[in-house]
Amino acid sequence: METTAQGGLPNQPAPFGFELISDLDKIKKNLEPEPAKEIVPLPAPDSKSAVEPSQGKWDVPTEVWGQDPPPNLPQRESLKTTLGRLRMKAEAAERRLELVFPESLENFMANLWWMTEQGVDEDLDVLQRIKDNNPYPTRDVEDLLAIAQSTIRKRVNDPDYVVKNGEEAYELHKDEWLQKFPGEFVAIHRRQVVAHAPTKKELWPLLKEAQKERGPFRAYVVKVGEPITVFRGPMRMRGRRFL
Amino acid sequence: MTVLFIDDERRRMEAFAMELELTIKPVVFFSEVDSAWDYFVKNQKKIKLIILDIMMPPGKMFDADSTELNLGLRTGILFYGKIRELAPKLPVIIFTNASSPEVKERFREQRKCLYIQKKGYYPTEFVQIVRQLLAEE
Repeated sequence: METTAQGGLPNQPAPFGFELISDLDKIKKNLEPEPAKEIVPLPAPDSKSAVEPSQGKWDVPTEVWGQDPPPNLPQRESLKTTLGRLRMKAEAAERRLELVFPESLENFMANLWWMTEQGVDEDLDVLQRIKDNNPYPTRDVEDLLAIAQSTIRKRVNDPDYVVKNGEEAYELHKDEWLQKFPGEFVAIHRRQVVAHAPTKKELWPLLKEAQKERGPFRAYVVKVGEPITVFRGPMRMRGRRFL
Repeated sequence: MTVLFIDDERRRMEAFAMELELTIKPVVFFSEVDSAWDYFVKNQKKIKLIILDIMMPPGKMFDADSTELNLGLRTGILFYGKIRELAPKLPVIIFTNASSPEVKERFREQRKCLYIQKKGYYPTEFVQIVRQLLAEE
């Protein structure tokens, strides 16, 4: 097939696009390299005035962003754990709200199932509130509410849960408690200090009083300012289940 | 190739289902067990994987006497048993909030079954597992 210099068949107009690239001078000009531009490097940061990164566990080295980090980078794992925990908290808050203001019975039941498996001590208050003012007073809902409550009570009295929760609360309130109870032993239950005293010996009777008021519970005991973990577990003494 | 996704919480699972749709097509989602079972029976041959929640309304198919079953706490376990009667080798992912050690153990002992807790996974991570699982099949 014959074609013209401008493209297209003889005696026919050049198809769209061919004329544009037929101007060889223009193309050559476009292909000529531009004179090199001078790039002025940024001044090196002054080590004294440069912002020092904090040493918290939130830190991820800036060079990590935008590229694949090594698989076992501890900061990555820490960030993932933190994000996961936040996501769980958001979901828990959303579900509590949905339980108090339910959209439908199905949704209400789904949230009760979730509470049964994932609910924590804070949810006991929510469940009690619902029990007192049940929007769906059927036998099934009442049964499920009772199951959720007993399962959560069992879970929050589990020694592992008590330790984990107590440690988290201590980390969270450490500064505040250092001012309020310096050097004292504190008993933590449901993220609050339920008893405090300068010695363990003095703490036990106070803890027993708190248990009388609130019903039997396990507490996490720690000396404020010192990372010493003293776990107060259940004991059968003088016919009482918990001390 | 179809992935059958059964979970009563459609809104919360939307992100997972969408991510699956983008990667593995088609995904058929059911929010209750009765319709899911009908679909499974009719389309058994083209289903390559089932993703199953545990705590769901029992539906008509599990009209059991046990309180726990009627309350829907173990619906997925019963559904899994029914699946296994018809398709003993079909891969099943138990994707649930249920966290009791007995349930975990029960499914870990099963062949062609993977137990995953919802709280530990983002949709993208979950899809990676599904892809891996399907690639191995």
